[in-house]
Amino acid sequence: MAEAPRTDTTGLPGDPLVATPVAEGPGTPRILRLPHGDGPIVALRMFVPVDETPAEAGGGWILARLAERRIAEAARRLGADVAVRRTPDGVSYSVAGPRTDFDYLAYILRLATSQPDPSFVGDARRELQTALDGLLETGPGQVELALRLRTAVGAPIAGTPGSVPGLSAAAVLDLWSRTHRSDRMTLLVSGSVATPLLLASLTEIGAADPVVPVRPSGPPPVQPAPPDLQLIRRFTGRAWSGLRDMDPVVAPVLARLAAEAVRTAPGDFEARLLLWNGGSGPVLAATGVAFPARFAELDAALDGLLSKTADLARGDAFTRAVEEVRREWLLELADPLGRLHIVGSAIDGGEGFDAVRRRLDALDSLSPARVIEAIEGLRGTATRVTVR
Amino acid sequence: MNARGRGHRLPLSLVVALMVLCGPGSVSAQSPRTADGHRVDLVDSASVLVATTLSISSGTADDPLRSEGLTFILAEAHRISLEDVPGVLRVETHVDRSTLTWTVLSTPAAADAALRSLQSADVMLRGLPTAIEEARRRFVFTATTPTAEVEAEAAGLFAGFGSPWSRPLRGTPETVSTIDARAARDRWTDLFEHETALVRVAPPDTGLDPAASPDGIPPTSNADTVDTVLPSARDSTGADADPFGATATEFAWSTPDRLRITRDVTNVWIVAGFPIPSDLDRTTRDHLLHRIGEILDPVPGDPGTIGAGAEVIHLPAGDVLVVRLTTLPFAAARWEERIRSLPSGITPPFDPEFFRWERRRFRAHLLLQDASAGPRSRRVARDLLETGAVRALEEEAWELAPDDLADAAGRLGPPRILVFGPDVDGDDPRP
Repeated sequence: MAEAPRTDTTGLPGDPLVATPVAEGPGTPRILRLPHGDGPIVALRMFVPVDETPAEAGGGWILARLAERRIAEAARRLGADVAVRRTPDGVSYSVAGPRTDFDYLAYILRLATSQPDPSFVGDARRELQTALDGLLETGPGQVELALRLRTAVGAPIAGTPGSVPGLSAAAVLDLWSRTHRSDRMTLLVSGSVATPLLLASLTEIGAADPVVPVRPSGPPPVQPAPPDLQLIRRFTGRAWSGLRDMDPVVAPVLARLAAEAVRTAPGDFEARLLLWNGGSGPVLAATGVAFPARFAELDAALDGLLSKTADLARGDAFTRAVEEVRREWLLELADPLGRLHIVGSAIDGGEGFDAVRRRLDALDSLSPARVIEAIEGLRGTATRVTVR
Repeated sequence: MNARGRGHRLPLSLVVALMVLCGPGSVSAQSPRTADGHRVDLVDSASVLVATTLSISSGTADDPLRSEGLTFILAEAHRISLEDVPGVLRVETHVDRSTLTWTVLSTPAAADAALRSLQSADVMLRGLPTAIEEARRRFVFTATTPTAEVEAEAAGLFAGFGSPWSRPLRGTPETVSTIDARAARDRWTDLFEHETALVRVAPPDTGLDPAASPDGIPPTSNADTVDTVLPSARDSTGADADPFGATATEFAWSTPDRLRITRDVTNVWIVAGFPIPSDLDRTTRDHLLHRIGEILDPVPGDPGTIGAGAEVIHLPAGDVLVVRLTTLPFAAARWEERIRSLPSGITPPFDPEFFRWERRRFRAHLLLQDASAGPRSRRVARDLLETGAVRALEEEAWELAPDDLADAAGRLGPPRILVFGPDVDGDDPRP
């Protein structure tokens, strides 16, 4: 006999950044609640972990894109805010609207997580393929794609040139059926909705077929060589993936300092700083372009980036970088769906229910020494790519 | 600090007196109000930051003659300085001909500093040189764009050419060159002679002013509310008074008009104004605005339309619903006719289901907009300046009836329409 879900209908006021588990049981999503005050809005975020094999890379992106299209009309009919995101850990489906329309909001969530129509998979795959082709047709795109592929842990969420052509409707539906199981899902709720009502709205969500498709095995797909480009300028980049074991507040502060280092580097070239999640943590990258006569200046600037970033961390730039990170986080947290996304993403990544509160506290106590220590840990770990 | 900017406090005894007047089941909340203006603090336990709005019922139409652009520059100067206050995350400004608003988003720890700075002329003056320089630079970039001319012509059509209301919002290079610290300080003092609303939305335990957040004032838009009579916002009969003195039966104008200005530019700008009867309640008015927004911006989009929107502006003689649309020339005549016939095109719903969905969309629009601290503090300040009361949005949206929208549209006054751009249809009457 199935164990009854544990429930708790109280929504005690508390820290708006700390989630509380209120229900969990076999056959139902885990339900977490965020303090919501007494506002008339309810916001829901359903997270589904997606573990693609290398041959399925890009499949989760297609599931998210199809869900986005599927719910667009339903959301427009009500005027609800919706968002579907492919995150490094899975796919999140979010919806917000008046609490009096909770039934309809829950319907949108069920629609978002429902089985995709196989006849639309081809369109979404072409969209992904076009984006990848666009990267491969330019120098900066080739550098960035190569850096992303070489620093990725697991399957890159935006797919690879080798995996995307193989994403058939059957493969995508198998991925959906394997991942979109109600007991693998987590619902994060902000709003005055009683837990029994939440549980009732989640019945029959996700894949109903009791047979779970087997995770495909086999060798990873062969990555085709990028096309030769007729280029006048030269393109290069570095990526450092050694941040993944560090405190999560270090990477964004370090990235802003590095961005300032790139922006103020002397020389006749263009360069930019990137920070992305490479599958198990942040990856810091710098890419640039220069005419051949100036390429050495660019190369030297990227090679000296860590030293210059460390110098900046010892000065006023450190305080500015911390303020910028705090501003960015707080402004996103001010929006109902933004709060759900940030708190939910931290929980998806296994950081805990109070991870965002701890991050803000850690930001307050972050020291230049801690950032400089992180920079030192990155030395000698750069992945280099050059296209000429 | 300007003396009138200080001490937006209501004695606790008077707050209690106001609460005694509360009637159960009321749907709107009068604010505590001192001689210095409305002052409300709201607690939002889901918020992680503090939003502070200062809104003043004076705008660019009050710029001194030959100093046009002063209010705009003053607003920008204050924004620039406020963004330098430690803990301030973002400052948003809104300036039009009749209103000036700043909304400061800050960390809770910086909320008091933000509140003090927001009311400080000295803080504003620190940003003045940068604001003047930015205004001058902007004139260089906008010298050849037609939007300033479109705005000026529309303002003249609506309020009378030559009236203070029709002067250029941002002034001209000549008028801006006269602006200095003394002019800015004088204008600052003048601003606080007008009605003001100071609103904070903040997490609990962030030092909100207890005098400004009595129990009866709604912590959110739909909480228990109070309803008291605020003499300055009601006339002697108890009816809502128009802030500009118009009676319930008056419109901003009573005759239609059309102005065609031919210019060899790539797009056509259509600006249409419909006078709003002054006794139309705000939520019905917002509902009408929302519906017109949906008509102007359909899904899928209308071919040829570049941009469209609708807003309510406050003329001295009454409120006006203004529709703005930019289109490619081939679609201009069709859009002009469509806009002209908007009031008659909004008919009572044949299908009750259609109305229910339309109302749900409007309710979602209202409540989602109000769900973040910044937009909520701005909305509450606007409510206070326009009516002296804070609306309970959820209840008001529920009270909308199927015929309200068509009735409201049918009561709009005759339109005044500006069509600006190339004349591909040959409708310019000039030879």
